[in-house]
Amino acid sequence: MIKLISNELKKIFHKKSIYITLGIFIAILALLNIVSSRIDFSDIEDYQFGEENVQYLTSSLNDYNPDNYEEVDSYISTKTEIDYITFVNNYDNSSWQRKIAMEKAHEIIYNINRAKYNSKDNDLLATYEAELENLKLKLANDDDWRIFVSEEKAVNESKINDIKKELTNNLDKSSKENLEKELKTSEIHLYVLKYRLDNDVSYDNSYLDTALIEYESNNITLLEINKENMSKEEEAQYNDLKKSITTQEYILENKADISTSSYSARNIFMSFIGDNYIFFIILTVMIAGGIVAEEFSKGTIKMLLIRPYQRWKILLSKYITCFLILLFTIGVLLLAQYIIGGFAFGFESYSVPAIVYNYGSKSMVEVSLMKHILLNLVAILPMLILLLTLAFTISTVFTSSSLAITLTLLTTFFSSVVNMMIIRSKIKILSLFPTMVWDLTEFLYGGTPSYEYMKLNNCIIMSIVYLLIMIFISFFVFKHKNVKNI
Amino acid sequence: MAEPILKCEKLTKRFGTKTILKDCSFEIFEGDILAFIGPNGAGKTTTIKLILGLQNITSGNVLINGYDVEKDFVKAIDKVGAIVENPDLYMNLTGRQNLELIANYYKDVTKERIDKVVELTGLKNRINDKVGKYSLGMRQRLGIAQALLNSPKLLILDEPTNGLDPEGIKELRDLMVKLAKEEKIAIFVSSHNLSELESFCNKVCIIQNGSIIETSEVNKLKKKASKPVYTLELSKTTGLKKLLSKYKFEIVDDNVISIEITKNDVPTVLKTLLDNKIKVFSCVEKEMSLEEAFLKRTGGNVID
Repeated sequence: MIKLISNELKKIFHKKSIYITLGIFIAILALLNIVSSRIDFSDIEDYQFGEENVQYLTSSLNDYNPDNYEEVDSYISTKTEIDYITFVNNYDNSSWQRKIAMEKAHEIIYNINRAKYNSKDNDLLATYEAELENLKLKLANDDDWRIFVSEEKAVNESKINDIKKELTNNLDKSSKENLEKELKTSEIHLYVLKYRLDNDVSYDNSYLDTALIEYESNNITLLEINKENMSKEEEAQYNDLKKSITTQEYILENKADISTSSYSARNIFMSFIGDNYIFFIILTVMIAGGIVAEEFSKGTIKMLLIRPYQRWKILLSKYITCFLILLFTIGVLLLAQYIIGGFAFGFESYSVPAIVYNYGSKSMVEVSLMKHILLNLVAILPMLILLLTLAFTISTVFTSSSLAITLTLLTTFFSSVVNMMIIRSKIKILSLFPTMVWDLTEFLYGGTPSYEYMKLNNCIIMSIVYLLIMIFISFFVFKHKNVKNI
Repeated sequence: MAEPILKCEKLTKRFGTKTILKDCSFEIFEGDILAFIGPNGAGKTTTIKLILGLQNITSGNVLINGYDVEKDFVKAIDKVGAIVENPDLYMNLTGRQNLELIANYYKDVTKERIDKVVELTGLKNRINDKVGKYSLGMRQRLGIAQALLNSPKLLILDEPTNGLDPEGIKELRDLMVKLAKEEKIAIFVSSHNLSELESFCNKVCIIQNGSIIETSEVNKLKKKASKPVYTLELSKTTGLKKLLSKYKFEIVDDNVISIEITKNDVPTVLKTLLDNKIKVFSCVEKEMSLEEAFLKRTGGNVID
């Protein structure tokens, strides 16, 4: 068997196509890395706050008549947008004031415009305009964001005291709940502000700044979810929020940059399998789809079948070779990414381990980078093996490599569409369809898939069943094949 | 008598409703060179494919060295070398790499054996070039080389002289004779090119429309075909019909006739001609060629 496999490998590594394809893949990887290392996120922001957008909005404002009952809402939202942009543009790019303005001004301005044009309530209008002025004053102190934060901190502290005092009174249930919500909201704000002061985190888009902002917004969203009566979607959202919050808590407590949203060698490497598995599939299917069929079309199958080996051994050696090529492809591309990523972004980030959320223990766990990648690989292994075997089987049964490769790649590309339709249909038995059971990524680290009918045992068992069916077909057909005129 | 190296017993092959081979039986012993001849579509290549396990046998069996090809394939095929139709090899590899791949399938094929086979087939100068660059003749030689790698006891060659120039055919012929004599190999050769075969085959098997119509030694076949033929060169060929009405003859050329007579008749014919003032310049016994014997036996060629 070893001899058979070594012969097969020799034949494959003499084919030019494998080197050309690998070369193209590595070139694409290099391109992706280089482009990512130069991406500037501010481009999108620049448009929103740019001249062109303001002019566009101003001209569309003329379409709406604020006195017309049906058009007033559109008028208000457009005008708010314009006022908001104007307000934010008062402040320099990358100044902390601009960030605060972006965060807080929109709601206030919206309320101002509503009071002006909709409810036409002058008292309310005055209140909101005062709020805006207040904000402007705070931001006018252009030395130090710390002063702003201290003031906010004081505001929140006193608000908390007030609420606590009021809670001691005798209140009805709904008022009590509302107050408790407000209390929690203020406590969240307070925590964040304190953290900024204690740890000198300004509004500078650093990983700590981002973590604080996300921590704040996630916790506030969490407050809106009623834990008692959650629908399936709400439960998924709840779990997601908990996962995010745990991640941010980890970042804030350990001051470790474990976020995967920014571009670094480590982050790209961590998501490599999930982003680029298509490369593994293309190359492996290319080989598996041709390894049997080409022998028939070239006529060399005759040279192979008159040797002292039973037919199943010959076929098995080819099958095993396909797996070896799969491993080879994965190894080469991972290595390529490791090197390219390191050169594009620097090798330092590789020393930071993967910190992932464990759904079982509901906490962050530290996992070495390699182990994390290996787990992600194992999760898509059923898919890779099933597609490899599909190409192999079609190749053996129809002795056409183009048919094998085309059908298998079509299956790959349409699998997500098919899965979407199956999920929509909510037909339970369809959750056992091959394309549904071959991706185990959602089960990693104790996770539960969003589709309720997906179960880990079913996935593994059905994958094995489909695999055995295909293997049986290919071996049976090959055993009884007549070698006709070539 | 020793065990036959190859024995086919009532080999039958059916493809759907079409019967391609019917009850074919023959034997080959060591040292034999069997010519397997038949018109196009007779079933020669199919027979070879059945022997080698490339196609399924409908009924009958094939025994190589005593081992049944269906039940004991590995043992049966171990000492067999073959070329079927074209010697298809990997075009993007060199001749040597192709031979090394094949050598890898056997336990005891060493590098020295590869070198020896390369020399035997005259490929030493081009063995390290890619097969895609070979001429047809070279590919044919490489095909023969790969068939010899495992020192086979049975060599099966499907039209091996295809693409060889006369020199190449002569070399192949000499090689086969040598192998049969010195290494006691049994050789099974199929071909259309009967004139080449008759110079080195000792047995012949004629197949037509899927059935074997004749198996015998080459000499006997030729004798069996019919009476010997004599070729006479004369001064004139007019008026012969009356004179030689007793015999079967044919005017081949202006002054040449070929006449079917026995040896005893020769003096009588000559006397008849000379008495009638016809000069005889030469009288030669023409041995029937294998081709003529074959055509006589098969009665021409009709493919069902």
